[in-house]
Amino acid sequence: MAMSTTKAALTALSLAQRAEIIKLARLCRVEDDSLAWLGKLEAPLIRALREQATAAMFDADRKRFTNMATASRLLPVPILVLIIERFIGPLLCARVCGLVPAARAIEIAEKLKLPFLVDACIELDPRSAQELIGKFPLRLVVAIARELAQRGEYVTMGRFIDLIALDAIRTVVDAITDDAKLLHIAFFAESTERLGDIVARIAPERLQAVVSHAATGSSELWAEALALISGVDVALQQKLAAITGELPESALNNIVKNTQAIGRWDVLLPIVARMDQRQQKRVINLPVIQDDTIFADIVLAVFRLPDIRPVILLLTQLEAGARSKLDGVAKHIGLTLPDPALLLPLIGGR
Amino acid sequence: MTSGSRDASLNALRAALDRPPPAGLDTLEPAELAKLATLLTEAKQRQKAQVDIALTESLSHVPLLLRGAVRKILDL
Repeated sequence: MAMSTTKAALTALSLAQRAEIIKLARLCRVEDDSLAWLGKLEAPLIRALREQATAAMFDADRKRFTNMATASRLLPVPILVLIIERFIGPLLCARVCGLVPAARAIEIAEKLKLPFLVDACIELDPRSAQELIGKFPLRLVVAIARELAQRGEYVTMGRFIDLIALDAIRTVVDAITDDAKLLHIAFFAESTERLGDIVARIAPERLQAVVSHAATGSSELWAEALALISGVDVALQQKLAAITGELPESALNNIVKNTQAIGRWDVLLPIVARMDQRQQKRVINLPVIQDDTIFADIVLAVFRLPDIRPVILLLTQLEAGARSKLDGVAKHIGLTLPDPALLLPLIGGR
Repeated sequence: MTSGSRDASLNALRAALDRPPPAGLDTLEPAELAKLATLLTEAKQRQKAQVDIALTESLSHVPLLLRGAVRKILDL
């Protein structure tokens, strides 16, 4: 009973809070749901806590690991590789490798067995790994990415894609053929700016496949897709919104059902507002939306938005009957949607 | 809850993080701050214990011939 309450609590948080809490939980090696109470904090604050905790945890033995890195230079690479794999293990290897000059660390990494290398990647200090991962040869990056995705190490992957060279992104994305896995990884991306760089490099047909997969999948997957679409810049958001707007009605119905289930109309409506007028009309007038409960949640979501204007204009695309029903529902819960005519002069028409 | 217990929890958090915690934790109750401090302290201790175990274990498996080289690398 308590478990389902905390699960519900984690699901009720904003998508960014959820991602940050899961990352902190992984760092502390506790169950994700056990930290749902941190949902009182905004995502950037949880992130700041995680970064400080990472520093505290990884800096503790830094001097010892720096000495280890220095000592390791005395041995030829083949012997060192043998010692690392047989005796030192991935945890210590991960802690030291960011302190070894990148060229030598790469020479060693290329000779390590892939499963071992991936074990070490999972334990890497994200700060000291930055230079190293960015310089890894593409073949190795792809092999590691594929193995991490295979193991379901999405939090590590979210960190990993932040570090790999931009020109390697497309090859890595192509190597991960499962669209759902790609969404899981994107959900944990460390920087939304980087996420935009990545989405911009994905082939259009793959983007369509990913959006379509998310639209027809579970509510959890749709939540991750929403986080992705709402996290990128306006131009990419328009591109992803346009792909969504062309989905078949059955997929759009599933989106409505899942958005209602996760209570995230405040995220979906601004995305629909980025579609062209034809698509807006099509989506907002879906028969499945014409439901009192959904309408009530839409009205409540509108009042949670930092900028209500695009969504108020979107709602003008509702057909007369549906609009009057929406206004009736709003009235019933004691709210009145602003008159769009009053907003038009503020935003220059549309 | 008194401001004293809040200060104690913030001090515990500062110790866990090895630096002053980020600003903006005012929304957490003193008990929640204490819970956070415990979470991070235990995580740090767990991490340290894992490293210590890994260091000890790695040496125990090394054949005598290689022990000197591994001991040097492990800074032991």
